[in-house]
Amino acid sequence: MLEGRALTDAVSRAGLIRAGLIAAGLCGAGLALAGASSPLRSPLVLLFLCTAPLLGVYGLLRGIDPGARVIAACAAMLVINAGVAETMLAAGLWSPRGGLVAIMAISAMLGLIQLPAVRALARR
Amino acid sequence: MLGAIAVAGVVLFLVPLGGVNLGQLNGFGLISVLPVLSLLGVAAAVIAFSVSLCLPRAYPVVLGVALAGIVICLDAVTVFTETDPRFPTAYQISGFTEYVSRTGHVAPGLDAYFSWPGFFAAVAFLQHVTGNHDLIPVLRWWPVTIDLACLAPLYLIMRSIRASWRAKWLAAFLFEVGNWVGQDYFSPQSFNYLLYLTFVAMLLTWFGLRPGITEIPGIPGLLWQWLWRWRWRTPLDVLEPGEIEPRQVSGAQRALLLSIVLGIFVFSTTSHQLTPFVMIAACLGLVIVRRCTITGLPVLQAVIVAGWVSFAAVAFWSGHLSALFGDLGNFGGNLTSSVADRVTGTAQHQHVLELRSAFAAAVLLMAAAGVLRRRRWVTDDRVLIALVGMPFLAFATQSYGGEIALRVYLFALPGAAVLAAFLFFPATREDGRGRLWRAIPVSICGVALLLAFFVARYGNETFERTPPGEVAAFDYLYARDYGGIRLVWLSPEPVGDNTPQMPWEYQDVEKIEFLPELAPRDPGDLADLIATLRAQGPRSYLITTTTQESYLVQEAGYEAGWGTKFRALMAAAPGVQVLYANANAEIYALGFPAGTQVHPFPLSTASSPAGTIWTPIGLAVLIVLLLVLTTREYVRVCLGAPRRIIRMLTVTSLPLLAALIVVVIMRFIVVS
Repeated sequence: MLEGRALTDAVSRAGLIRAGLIAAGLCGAGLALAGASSPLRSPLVLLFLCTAPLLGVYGLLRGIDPGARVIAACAAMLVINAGVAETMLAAGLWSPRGGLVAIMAISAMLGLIQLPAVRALARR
Repeated sequence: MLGAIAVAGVVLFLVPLGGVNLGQLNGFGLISVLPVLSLLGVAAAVIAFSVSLCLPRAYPVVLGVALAGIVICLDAVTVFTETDPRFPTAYQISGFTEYVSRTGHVAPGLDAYFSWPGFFAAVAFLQHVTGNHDLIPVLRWWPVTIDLACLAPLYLIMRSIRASWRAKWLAAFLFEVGNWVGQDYFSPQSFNYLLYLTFVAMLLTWFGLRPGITEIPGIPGLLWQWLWRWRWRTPLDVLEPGEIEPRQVSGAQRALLLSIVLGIFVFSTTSHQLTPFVMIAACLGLVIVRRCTITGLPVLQAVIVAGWVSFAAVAFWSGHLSALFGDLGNFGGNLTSSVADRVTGTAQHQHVLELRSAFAAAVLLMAAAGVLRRRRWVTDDRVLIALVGMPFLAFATQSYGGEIALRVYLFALPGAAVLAAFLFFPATREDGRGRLWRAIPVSICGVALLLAFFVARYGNETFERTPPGEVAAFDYLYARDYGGIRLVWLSPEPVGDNTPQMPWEYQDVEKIEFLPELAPRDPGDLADLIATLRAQGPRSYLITTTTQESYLVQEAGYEAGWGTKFRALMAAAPGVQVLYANANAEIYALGFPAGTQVHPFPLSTASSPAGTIWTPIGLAVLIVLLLVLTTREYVRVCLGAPRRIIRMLTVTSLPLLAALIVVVIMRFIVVS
């Protein structure tokens, strides 16, 4: 078990990595929404589609050990991405940009639920 | 050091692959041209892996690197030896994805696959957001990626099994080497296999063993008791459960996990025909052996599948009801048509098919032997036995175009791999002692299965590969398909055979109509083919490829060299023009006088089933029933299963269920 300062360091390192992934992913999403044809678009937008929902669900599964947590979060990420794509197809509203915005919204919502202020509100 | 040997072995496998000459492939497939050094290299990696399994303690990095290297050798070998991705159906799937990506719609009238469009929608969405529409690299790397990805849910499944680390790592190896079925090409099936494993893993990890519940109800329970009490003389109460208790999670987290499980299942229902049924069978098996706390899940799953098939897949079954239900209950017939009827062709080809059956039988026998060995540890492996046994129910329902035996083996493989690993390492706990001599039987078994894998998996490489030039031939056609064209291809059995052995339909699926015609046994007997081309009119072509010709020789027993003779005679036939020719493909057409009328192009993309009052009634019933059943499962899982509420919801669901069955049957009758 990590103690005291080491724990704070580890937590802030994890937080930095998460923030970095989200930032890189948002760049990719921005490139995709703008329709830019940069070579960075493909890997960054894939990074976004993978990590944004994954981090959202990962944060909700506190207390579960890391391996199982990651796999469950990956499964949720696949379901969210595929669900958005399929809903667009079924509703006849095929718009990849719209789908990307939908995934941003879903990930943002999942992230919001985890904010300490929101959790405190829910507990009350 | 063992890690270095494993890495060196993998490198030794990969390096000589550049010099492989695919022109010399024979009926045994890829193994006939693989350099001996490569085989020695991968065998060395397998031996290093086996020795690492027998050391006093586990070295996960070494084991992981060795296993990943072995998987790359097994599944990515064609990436390094072949220029174009293999397997015809992968191209067809990529064509369906291209259609969805281009039009934003499905075409259920065009192909049954479109009635389950989930996978195409997901890939098309990714193509659009990344701006990358070239699927060829994806096709090339997909098998090895999916096979590596399957290790993650397999790890989660094994985490809840009471076994030593040796057995678990060996099970992972047996799972990879046992997966010769080749259903991991770019397709909904391969992705759904990953989903199936994830589904089972999540059920076992969080909704699995409940302490104190041991009795299996009904006939399976009686069989279980007979086996342990009378055959093996062990009272049931001394048995240790073969699973570990799931970690406790909060009610809200359980709700989230259940949502993920349901989400996986719903996506599977909308993307593949067969996998949802196997998921239902697996869940039902776990419920029966009392290792699944979501006891109402199979019913909910069945309602979801029934709803999708009845309402959304109408184009598939209206008009084809006998194809769907004709094989129901025909257990023996389905088995025969799946296994025996497919053994035809040259002697080498038959050996390949026999080896496949023997490989599957060997793995299942090893699993049975593993169950017997585990007896000494007085462990109750009911979960693994259920996971192996339940897919066999599929034999009773469908022959799935003769392929059901392969699929049953594929879905039984995860449980069978773990049980087979118990044959070598049955202990439930690790005593920290290494026994290096055990590496000998493990290595022998591993290398034997490895060599058998190359024959079983790549035995049909003469016609499953895509030689250079075949894709170019199709590009020639796609450049000229405006307004639609008809493409005749040579089949040994036009009535039953609907997949040409060539990279077909990877673009413009609605613009080319593929027409199978009987390939004449005598390559000079071209009268029928030419008459067909004349009857089809202008904008009709005939294509022949090296791989389709190899298929005719290997699988259907046409004379050796048939392809070369056919091309020469066809090119020389009066009235026939050779429009395109390269070493591996030729396209012919008849000359028509200018102004000959082109026959109207009939391909319809939409289907228009008859409207009926049963549709809105049925949808209403379905939605309410789904709400009731889903609420019931969430209540069961999150609120500690309060009896009264669950009973109330169950009672509410019964008349709705009856109503849904009536609606589904009426729709089958009316809309057909």
